[in-house]
Amino acid sequence: MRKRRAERDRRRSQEFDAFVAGAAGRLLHTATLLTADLHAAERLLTAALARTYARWDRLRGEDPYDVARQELATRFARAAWRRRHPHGGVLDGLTPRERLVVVLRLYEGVAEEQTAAQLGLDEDRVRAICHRSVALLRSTPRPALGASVPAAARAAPGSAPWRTESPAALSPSPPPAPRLATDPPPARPGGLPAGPARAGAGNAGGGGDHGAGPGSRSAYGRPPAPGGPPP
Amino acid sequence: MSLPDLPGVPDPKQEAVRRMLDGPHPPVPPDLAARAAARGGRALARRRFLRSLLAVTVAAAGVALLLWLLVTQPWAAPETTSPPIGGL
Repeated sequence: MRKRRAERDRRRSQEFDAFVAGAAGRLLHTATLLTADLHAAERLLTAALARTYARWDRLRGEDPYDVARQELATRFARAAWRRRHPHGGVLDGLTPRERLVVVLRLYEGVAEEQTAAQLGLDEDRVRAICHRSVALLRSTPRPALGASVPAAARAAPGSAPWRTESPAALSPSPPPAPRLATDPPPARPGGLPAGPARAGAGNAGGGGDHGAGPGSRSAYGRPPAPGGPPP
Repeated sequence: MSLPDLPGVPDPKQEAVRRMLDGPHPPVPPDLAARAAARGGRALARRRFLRSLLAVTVAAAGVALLLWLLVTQPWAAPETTSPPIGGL
């Protein structure tokens, strides 16, 4: 019995590592859109992935990506309503609920019924929130995707108190807003290469599908994506 | 205002917002999987321990019930407790 359990543990570890290698980039992107702060997003994602790992044996064919995304949404909803609202980022000015609807519906492409079920709202309400948020996002000028500092610090670019920009992170043209630092502390030598790992990993739960998603580049400090909003 | 979204017909406004949200992924810390697996493993171990604790408690309760039945034998008729009518 102990040998069987050790076998199961090993298999779970392998499958989980493969899944994270493939899906972490996109999930971290989702978390960062929600929290507008990279550190908070990493904490949120770690917790969500931990719960996904704990549920791994009971998944029974469910896509672990869906489970992890649901965990992200649930934890974010619970934390955001308890503490202060997230500020900054592309979705600046949206309440946590609006952020959830926009990120799930538009970025993740979850269907209306599923979004409504996950968030505990009516479909009509989800649709209304989505339309209202889209109108708001299109009407006001948006900070670039890499910006996650509060508005006060944004006024003085490059003066974010806890971030230092490495020369490699600065683009040739001056950025409209401070970037997330891509100069990682020594303990984290560069991010996991999301692109190649995603393409090569034979994910158990269909995490490989998400490798084909848009924007799989791993550096966050680059100039805005070609389809980005006009400044 | 709340027209249902037709599947397969992309709303241009939503498409614009979708492009806004898209872009390069932030760098993933390389130890993310390890840390998450460690946390999840601890949660699993805790759950396993609690489940075995519950099983042990139920088993102990069952044994106690069995012993009590063997000792008191509630199905048997009670012995006479009062003395017979004619005295000792």
